[in-house]
Amino acid sequence: MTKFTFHRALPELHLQQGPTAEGSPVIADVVDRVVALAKLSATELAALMGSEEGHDLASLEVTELTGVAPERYLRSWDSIGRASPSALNDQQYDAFLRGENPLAETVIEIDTSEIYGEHLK
Amino acid sequence: MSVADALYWDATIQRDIILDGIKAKRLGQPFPRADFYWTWTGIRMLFPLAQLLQKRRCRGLTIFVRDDAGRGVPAGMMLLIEKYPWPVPPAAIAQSTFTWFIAAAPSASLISRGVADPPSLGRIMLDTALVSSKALGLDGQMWLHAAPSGGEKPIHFYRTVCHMPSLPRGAALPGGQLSDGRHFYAPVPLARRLIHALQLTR
Repeated sequence: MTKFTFHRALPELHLQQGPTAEGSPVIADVVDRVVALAKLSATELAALMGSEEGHDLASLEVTELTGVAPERYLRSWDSIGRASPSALNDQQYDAFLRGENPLAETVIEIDTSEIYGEHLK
Repeated sequence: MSVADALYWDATIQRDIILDGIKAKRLGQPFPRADFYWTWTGIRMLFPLAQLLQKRRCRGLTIFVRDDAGRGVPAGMMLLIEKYPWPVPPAAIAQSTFTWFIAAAPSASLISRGVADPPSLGRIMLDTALVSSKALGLDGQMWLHAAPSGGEKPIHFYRTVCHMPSLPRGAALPGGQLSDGRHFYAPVPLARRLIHALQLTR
């Protein structure tokens, strides 16, 4: 599980559903932050992001990255799928909100099925 | 765009952007880019959740280039709002895609990470936003804001290279704000031309 820590909050945040003893206060902080962000129009928020105030609004420190070489997050060129321009369905969008990349994964699945289809002919 | 892409960006390319900004500041120059204060991990995770409360969906996209070790290195990051009010009435379609955050890696940053010949990404990223609008049924209608902290370079790109008109200063924006004159938009005919121009490379 990926753990996130806000710069202004000491405990670790576990991005998971349901309350946990250690995570609840920070989840509340996440909710507060998201609600505060939602009160701003997209253009207001974009303007704020040009300042230190905007940086504080968006800051997330990921504990998982501590001591880990960033190259760990790179993938082989061949495994990168081209994103589909089509709209995501609800299930795919849930995956996007969890941090995944369902746009590209969808294309990989399609490519794979086509390859298998060719192979079976 | 996955969170892993954003993590990589913040740990590597964003640090280069910050270092460049600090160097500029020491020389008494303004920050050379609009994204000096950005953190893509937060933008990727929190901003789509905030838009969900407004019943809007975001689209996070990463543009990769290949390094000399055969890996895909994030070279461009984009967060779009899929359907946002179109600020230029009257229009047959009242919605549009809003290009919310867009950043291209500095060439030097990519070269130092094994990308031999980094491409210019501005036009490709704009094309990605236009094609997304088209695929969402918005006929290519797209708009964006060139942040003042980015200086005049993006203005030149949107106005002169892409021929995008800008809203006049003081024009009303969705949400009640007034434009600072740095909001650029692609109406349907322009969007079609821009999309068509890159069709062979897509």
